[in-house]
Amino acid sequence: MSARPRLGWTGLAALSVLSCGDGEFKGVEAPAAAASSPWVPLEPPRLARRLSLDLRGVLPTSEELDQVEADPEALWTLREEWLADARFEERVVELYAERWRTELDLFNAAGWEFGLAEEEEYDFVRSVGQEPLRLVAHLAATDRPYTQAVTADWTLANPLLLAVFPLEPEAPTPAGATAADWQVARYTDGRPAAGVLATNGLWWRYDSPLFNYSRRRTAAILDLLVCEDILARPVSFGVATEVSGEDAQETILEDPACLTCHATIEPIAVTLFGFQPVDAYSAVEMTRYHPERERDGEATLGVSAAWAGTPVDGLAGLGRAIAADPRFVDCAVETVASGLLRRPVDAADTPLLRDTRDRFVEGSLALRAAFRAVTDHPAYQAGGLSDTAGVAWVDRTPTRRLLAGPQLARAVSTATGLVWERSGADELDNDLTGYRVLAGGVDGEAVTRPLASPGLTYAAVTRRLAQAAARVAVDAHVAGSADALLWSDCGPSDGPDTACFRPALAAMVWQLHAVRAADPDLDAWTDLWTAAHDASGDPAEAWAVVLSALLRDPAFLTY
Amino acid sequence: MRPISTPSPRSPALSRRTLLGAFPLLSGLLWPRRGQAAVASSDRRFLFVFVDGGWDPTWVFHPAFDDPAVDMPPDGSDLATSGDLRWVSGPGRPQVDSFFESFASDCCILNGLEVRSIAHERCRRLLLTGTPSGTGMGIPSRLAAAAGDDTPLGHVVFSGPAYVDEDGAEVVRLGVDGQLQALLDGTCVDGTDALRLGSDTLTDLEDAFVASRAQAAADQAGEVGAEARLTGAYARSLDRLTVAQDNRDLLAGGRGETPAELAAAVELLSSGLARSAIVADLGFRGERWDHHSDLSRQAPSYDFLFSNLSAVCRSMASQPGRVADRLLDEVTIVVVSEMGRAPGLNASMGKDHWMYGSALLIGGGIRGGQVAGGFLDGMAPAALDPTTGAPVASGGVVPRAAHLDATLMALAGIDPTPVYGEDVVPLTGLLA
Repeated sequence: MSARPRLGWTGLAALSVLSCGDGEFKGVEAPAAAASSPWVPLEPPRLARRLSLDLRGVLPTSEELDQVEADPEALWTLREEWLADARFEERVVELYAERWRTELDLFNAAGWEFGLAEEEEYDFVRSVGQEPLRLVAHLAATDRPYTQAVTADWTLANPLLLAVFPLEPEAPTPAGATAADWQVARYTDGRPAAGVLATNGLWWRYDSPLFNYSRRRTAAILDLLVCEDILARPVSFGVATEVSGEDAQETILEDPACLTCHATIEPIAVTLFGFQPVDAYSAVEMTRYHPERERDGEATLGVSAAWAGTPVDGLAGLGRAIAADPRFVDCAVETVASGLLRRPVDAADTPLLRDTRDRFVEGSLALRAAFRAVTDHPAYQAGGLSDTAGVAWVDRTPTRRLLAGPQLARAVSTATGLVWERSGADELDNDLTGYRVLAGGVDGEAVTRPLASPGLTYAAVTRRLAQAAARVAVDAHVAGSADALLWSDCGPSDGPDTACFRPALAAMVWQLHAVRAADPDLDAWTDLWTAAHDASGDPAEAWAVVLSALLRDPAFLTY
Repeated sequence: MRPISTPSPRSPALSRRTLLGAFPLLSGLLWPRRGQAAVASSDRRFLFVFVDGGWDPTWVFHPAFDDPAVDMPPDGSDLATSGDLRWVSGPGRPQVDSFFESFASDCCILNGLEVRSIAHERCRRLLLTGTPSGTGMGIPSRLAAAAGDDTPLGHVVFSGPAYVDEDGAEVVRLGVDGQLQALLDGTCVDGTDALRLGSDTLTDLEDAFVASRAQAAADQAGEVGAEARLTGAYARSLDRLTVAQDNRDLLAGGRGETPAELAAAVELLSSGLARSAIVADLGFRGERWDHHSDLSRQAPSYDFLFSNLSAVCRSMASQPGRVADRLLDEVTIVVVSEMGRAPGLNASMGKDHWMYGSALLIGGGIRGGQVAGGFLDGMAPAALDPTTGAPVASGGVVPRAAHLDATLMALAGIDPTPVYGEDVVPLTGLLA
């Protein structure tokens, strides 16, 4: 089976035994013991590129690359700058979007039901899906303890959500604020203080059919917040279990097969009845919390509210109980680590996870501490595997990541000035008309992991993305725009016979790939320029072909 | 243990509905097995029809007229048979009868399929991945991955769910709005502000250069390990892009129109470029099948579904395959829904979700003219003998998605043991 063993790692010591006992994973050690490490570190400029893409979602500038090339230790100063960059908050949104899967293109209610215009629909659905992600990202950006993700009495909202949900901003909304402008706000409908557990965004995504009584939402809580997939529990329903009719709830609470999961589920679901709608498709019902329904939970499900066997006081109590559960911290570490490694973590990653957990806790549960810890680890910094790595390691461990989804879109956009929008929708961030999933992104429902290995659709998207982006950049250069990002001294009509050509080409490779191009490579790119010029008679088009090919190169599309 | 319910003729009307007499030469166990050229595993292809929302098996697949715990369609429905194949026939869905009249000998109904959840999203994942956790590669993708470059377009998603593991390179999504074709023909930038692409000539030049760079990177990475897979996959994806570019008319999709998507899928599978394809059936007027109220709407949805299946099977039966006389003998059509519906009506005269359902297998490699598995009273699943498909009172297995997957893998010549272990056996009783 290709699936890796899941990490149920409340007891890390036990996993350490598992890891070492296996033999194949024995070489993994903490950074201090790098001598025995199976990892071969990435070249510093390429590592700078990886860090910049992971922490800011953009390529490093040429100047930053120069700095790291001259002094590799400068990278760690740059890392602190990038962690403080406003775009770090966006990256946390993106990483958590992959894990929490809230960025759907359609919810049970649409913007028109709230009087929004058609061209606002994309911004509206994305805003709803991002509400819980923004809350976590705000914690990360402000170094607040991660526990506030489930205890805060505030959320994040932009003008669209402020207009639609019963929310009050903490401070007046600036004039001219757009959907990209988020601020702290509080719900005014009496919902408890429970961080993301009290956001419409989370529960619009994880709706629960009326008769399901929030059990689906409970499964989401367990999955997203403590990384427990309750539906993966081995259950044998047998042939005698009949769950229907008026006795269904009784059966659920008595049948051993049902209790395997429902003993955990029901006491949590009880706390969510304030979100229980009487009509699952009513926009009004979906928008407001209903304090008067909180007490219906115990009566309907026949159990008292509890988390892991300990009674809790409503939804706020549930949030506090989750915050105190060691699995909550473990799960955050797992989310950050798998997001940065671009692969699921497993038992073999125990040293990295243990170290990250320790530093996360020492750092007062500020997410930046977890990001620092993961990015300090040789597994993150690896550019290859040493000869000491076993066959199993080589087979299971990619040390290069595919640039896909929002990272790809942002890297290309910031490098070239490309904006690919249609009818108000970001075409690289939706699947109704656009190319989010085809570009390797996550749609939250059918596609729940970013693409790790390129296929036909990825090649098709990156080809057109690169071609369009290259012409945006060239056109800006031809127009003499200050937004012409990739050229310095060379003009759009300059060809190989000019002195500036080869340095300009080398600078482009440096900026886009973070490698110093060797002469044979520069010769090859020059030949491509010449062939394109011969075919088109237009030096600007020849530059566009070269730039497009640079953006489609494996050195650009991996990091 | 409750007794296995055995549907039996209930009225004289039944015999009039019994279709055996309508086409005696093709009926029942007396049917001569169709003469087939040997279809190798590598020749097999798969069309998945995903019925979105949860169908109620009692409207076609499960004639539970004798089970008081089950609310059967209140429309005068009755049992119909064709040889060993039994189904529920009723007004409002004549296309069901019409389909089985023509293709019963190609069809195997699997009843009592266990999904282990009642949440749509989870059920879809469980059903289409076959794994208890719902993670990992989808069944159609797995079938495609095993074929490798023999079918360069892998698994083509016209509509409906498609799951991938950390790889994902085998899945070709057309996009709900024909996005892939727009990328291939360059219309993807139409309607945008100031975006433009290069000429075809320049694109060809660029494609060739990028392909050579990708191949060089792949060569440098070697053949073993995760790095090699990543770089190799990019080089292969560019080759496949060329194939797709040359065959882009086959990848137009149907833009949400189920009949058009199915027709396009048949054409694609006929071309041999794809190993598998999936099309979602959204039910009558696209309202999905999730009828928590007014269950009678299952009837027009079933009528629509079987009308489409008839068109697909007629098309596949009327054209030759690679080696067989009929394409239908090379393509296995797998019709599934993410869940079934509860035995009893709810207060809104609908039915709620149920973790046991049915599947319909048609065509290539399938032992047609039979019902495998079954439901016990109250629509609990019956265990079946995997070697015969017959329900058994003791022993046997309750069929799950993993068994269905293992069965399809066996049909495709793939050993399911590395994926599922020894405990999940192919249901060879379903296979010809």
